[in-house]
Amino acid sequence: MSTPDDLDLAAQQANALQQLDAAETSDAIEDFYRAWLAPSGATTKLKRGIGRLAPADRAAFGKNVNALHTLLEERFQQRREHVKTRELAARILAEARDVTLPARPRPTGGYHPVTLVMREVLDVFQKMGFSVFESPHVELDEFNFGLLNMPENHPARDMQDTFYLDTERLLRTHTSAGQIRAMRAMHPNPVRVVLPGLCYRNENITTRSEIQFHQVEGLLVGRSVRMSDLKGVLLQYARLLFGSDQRVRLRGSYFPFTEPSVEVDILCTLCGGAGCRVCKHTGWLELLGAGMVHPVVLANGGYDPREWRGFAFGMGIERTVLQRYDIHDIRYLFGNDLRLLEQFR
Amino acid sequence: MRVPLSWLRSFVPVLPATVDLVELLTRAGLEVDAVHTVGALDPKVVVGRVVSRTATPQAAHFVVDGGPGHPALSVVSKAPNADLFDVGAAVALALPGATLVDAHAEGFATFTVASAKVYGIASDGVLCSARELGVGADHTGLHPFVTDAPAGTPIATVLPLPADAEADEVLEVAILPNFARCLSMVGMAREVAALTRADGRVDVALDPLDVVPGPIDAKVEARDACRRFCTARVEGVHVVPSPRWMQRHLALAGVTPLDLLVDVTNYCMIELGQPMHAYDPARLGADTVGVRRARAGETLRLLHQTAEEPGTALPEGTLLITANDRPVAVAGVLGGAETGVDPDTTAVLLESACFDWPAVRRSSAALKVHTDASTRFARGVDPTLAPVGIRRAVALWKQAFPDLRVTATGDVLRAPIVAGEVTFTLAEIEGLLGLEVGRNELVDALAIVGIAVRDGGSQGLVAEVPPGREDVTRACDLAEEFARITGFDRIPETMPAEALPFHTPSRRYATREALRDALVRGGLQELITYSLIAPDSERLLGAEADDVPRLRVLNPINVHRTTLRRTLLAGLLDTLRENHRHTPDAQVFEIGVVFLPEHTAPGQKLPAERLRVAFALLGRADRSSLHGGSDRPVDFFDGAAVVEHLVRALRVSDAVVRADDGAPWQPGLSASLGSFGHFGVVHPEVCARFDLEGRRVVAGEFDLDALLDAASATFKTVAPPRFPALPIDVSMFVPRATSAASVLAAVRGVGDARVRAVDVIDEFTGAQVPEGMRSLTVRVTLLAPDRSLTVAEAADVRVAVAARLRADVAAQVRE
Ligand SMILES: [Zn+2]
Repeated sequence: MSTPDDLDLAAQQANALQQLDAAETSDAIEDFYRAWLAPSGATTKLKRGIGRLAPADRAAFGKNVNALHTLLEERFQQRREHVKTRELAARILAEARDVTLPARPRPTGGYHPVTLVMREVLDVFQKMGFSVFESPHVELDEFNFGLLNMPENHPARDMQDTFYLDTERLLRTHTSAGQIRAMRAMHPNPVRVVLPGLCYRNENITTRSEIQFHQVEGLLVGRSVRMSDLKGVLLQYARLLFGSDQRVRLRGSYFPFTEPSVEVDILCTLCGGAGCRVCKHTGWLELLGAGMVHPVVLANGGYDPREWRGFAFGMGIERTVLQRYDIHDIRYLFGNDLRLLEQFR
Repeated sequence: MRVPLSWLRSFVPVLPATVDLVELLTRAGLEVDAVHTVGALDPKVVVGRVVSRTATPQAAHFVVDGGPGHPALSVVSKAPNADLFDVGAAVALALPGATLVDAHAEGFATFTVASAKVYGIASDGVLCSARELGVGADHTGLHPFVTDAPAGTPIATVLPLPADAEADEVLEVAILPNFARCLSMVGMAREVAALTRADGRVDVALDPLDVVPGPIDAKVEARDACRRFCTARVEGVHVVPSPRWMQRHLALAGVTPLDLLVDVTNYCMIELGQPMHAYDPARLGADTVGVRRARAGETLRLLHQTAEEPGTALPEGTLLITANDRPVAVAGVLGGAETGVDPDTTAVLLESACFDWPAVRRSSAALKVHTDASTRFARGVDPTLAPVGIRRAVALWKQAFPDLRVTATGDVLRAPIVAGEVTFTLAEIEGLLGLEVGRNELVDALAIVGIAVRDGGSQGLVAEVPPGREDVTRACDLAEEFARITGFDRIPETMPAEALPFHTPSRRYATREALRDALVRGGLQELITYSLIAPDSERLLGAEADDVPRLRVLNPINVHRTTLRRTLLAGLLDTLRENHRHTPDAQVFEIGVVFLPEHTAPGQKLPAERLRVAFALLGRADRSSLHGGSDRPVDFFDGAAVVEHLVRALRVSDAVVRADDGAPWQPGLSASLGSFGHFGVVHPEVCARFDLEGRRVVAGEFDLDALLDAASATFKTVAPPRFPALPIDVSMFVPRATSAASVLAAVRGVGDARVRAVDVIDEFTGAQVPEGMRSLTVRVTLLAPDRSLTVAEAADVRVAVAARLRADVAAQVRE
């Protein structure tokens, strides 16, 4: 680019504006700036050329040079904005992609669905002041049955097919086995615990039953615990988990380690009580088995049943897992078909 | 327990609608699992409309509108009156799956309708006769009726049922152990009467027994297992079919009718809950019967065994009925094959006993024989029923044999039967339930179930419990009876009123769950595998001696689930084996318990259960896609990354990684993490044993209990530096066997506070590297809290580091 060094300001201006209009890119714009407006640019040089003028012309010339500088500065700013906007638009156009193309692969992990439900249950009970208490998988017959008011040959043992290691030891068939351990650990203080864990039963493996499954047992022992408290606590649980319009319903049942014993139903979480396939059109879903701790069990745990009372409940986790995620075969859960599990990522 | 409603109605004439009855029983603890229906009461028997009728040589071929879903069913009928049913006529149409009365059976029987080909024509239902519908005796043709009801209407809403209808509904009720009394129609009827507040007591009308003298000589040796032993010798009977009504009740209750002598014992058992056995005294060949335990080596051919079969060996101690000391029946379970009634029988010796449940349960379990009788005894039978059963049986036989005579009876009672008493207070009941009850209401409710309450003076109240309710022994049992009868809905919902212990969070539990979160965040998929495994799958790892102690279950469900696992790794590799064909890339982990019997604590019976965490990586660590990138298979350092992630998540401070070979790992590509466990590339031979031949698996397994013990609850941060860091890179040759860890340790050994971090940033082996050496570059990051470091200072540190490297790991430091 040639920068005329004569002092014909009109010609200089025409020349400069022509160059500016020709600048189409940011680089060209910057070139223009360097040529005309930078401290080493043409307008500065023009100002230095003032010495070659007659003293009388100098003031007017100085003013005109300044006016030229201001004009060019202003036009330069406008042009720069214009070019920048155009360039951005062009870049945006060039960068546009088909946004429906698949995402870039990004490794993600996932929880086993049993963990998801188990945690939800434990979280709610922990919020309600229950502490987590864990007990062994391999149990003594005594803790799994005998101390829970199920002596040898007791009819209630028919309800549970047990894996035995020998005459004394077995795989716990329910988390209730931990009740006595929890009571003995807490005695003589009141007890408010949840006992989560894997349990085992020697049952045929079908779409609905497995040889291992998870349970959560709850146990509360105090001096004035009532069955109405059991109902209230479970209602609170149901509401925290399934919404404030939940209701609980008790049905008579039988467990050797509770008396009275009940099954606890909640409003069907699918149909809200209207009746559907999942609740077999009753409007209710079985939540868990529960009851008031049997005096014999309290005594075995170290608590005098004349002064102490308690309630206990026990729920299976897998049934909720199957229901919630519409899994039709329990064998998927421990068969660990990754095509199923990866859906939980 | 199968409860035909017609039978129940003979005790409680007015029953609620079946759906309401089901709900009522279910809420009172008698869960109805199913309702079976027969004949006109089966909802699959509907009003059909004849669409067309075509005569074939052997039968009439109908097309029938069976209502929504069945607009044009093809049905073949051989009924002689078929031609009376023209287009538009109503027919009783039984759809496939419906249960009808079998009109061709000699006695009472039912059958289920199924699609079939009749004379080569598809027949998808049955057009019913009155007999098949159970609404009359006629089976000469289709049952004619007139109705305006649309096709598909259940026939029960259209056809009137006569009082003696054979159409029926049968409830299948799950009987929990505390409802032993409901293993009888009378027990069920009492419960229904109590729940519906139906009037009156439910009892079977009985005639007094007209006994000719001559007591039966019964020798009850095993008194500890036999509470009562009643017998009666009945003469003037013989084998004939039972009346149809009795066959019907038995069949619907699930017992196959045989002949009147046997059927009556079964009928009484179902009606009253009293199991009985009829012997033929002629075949018994003895005048003394007895009850004793089996001696070693005794055998008995049981009722279901043929003459050719050898007798069943009787385990020593099995409770037996004997004739002249010879075993003739397993008490309370099953009779012998040689002493029961047969076609020549003219007299029976009837046994009606009360055996204690432990003895019967033991026999039943030992012989693996479960009968209707053993089911009842195993749960407890009311001892007052034994003589009642005999009187009822005699009365039923007398209807067929008016000349029947009872020539002798016996009744051996261990101890007098007294009503149970429970002393309790109203406050106990109210406190337990959290409900104000009131004395009158309690007394009234308990009276409904036959429990009388009287004043016990200073003791409070006394409940008198009838025999057969031996489950009621405490105040809490009375509370349950009250709640069951008056409804659990009355109990309010309250929150515990007393101060209970605060929630004490378990740090162990929280830390374990935080680790689970961290591993999921790290991109791993959680698994839960079986605790029970086949020991062979762990042997494939080759990590432990074959004779390592293992806990086996005595009664495994199958050969794959026999033994408690000692590792998680085998389960993870099994999972990869099952999945790799359809899911070739997998990154999985499990947190679970293993069982180590050799670590059982002294004096403890329970084996050590250790919590472990394990992971396994297979396939690609990085994946290419249409956006670029390239596939990269997992290698050792992906495993190292998981381990580092795990250690950081738990904030375990002193977990040192060391090269460590051993099964199941590939030598040179495996390491130990402190004493917590091992990780590395799984040995190719081990992969092959898990059907993963040619695939690389990177895995690890660690003692999580120990890691949790070493985990830090919290940690302190370091403020971000205010002055720039100065990195210096030191390149060196070191002997090939010198580990990066030892090089880093040497640099740290300089002990200069300005050394903030040391990292290996390059590894190189090649032509320029001397034989037996490799090139490593270490970046030492220098930092001072109070000033910018100078190049001169860095040079000083570099000299010190180089000297240390030369001294400690024989490094040739390159300038
Ligand atoms: Zn529903």
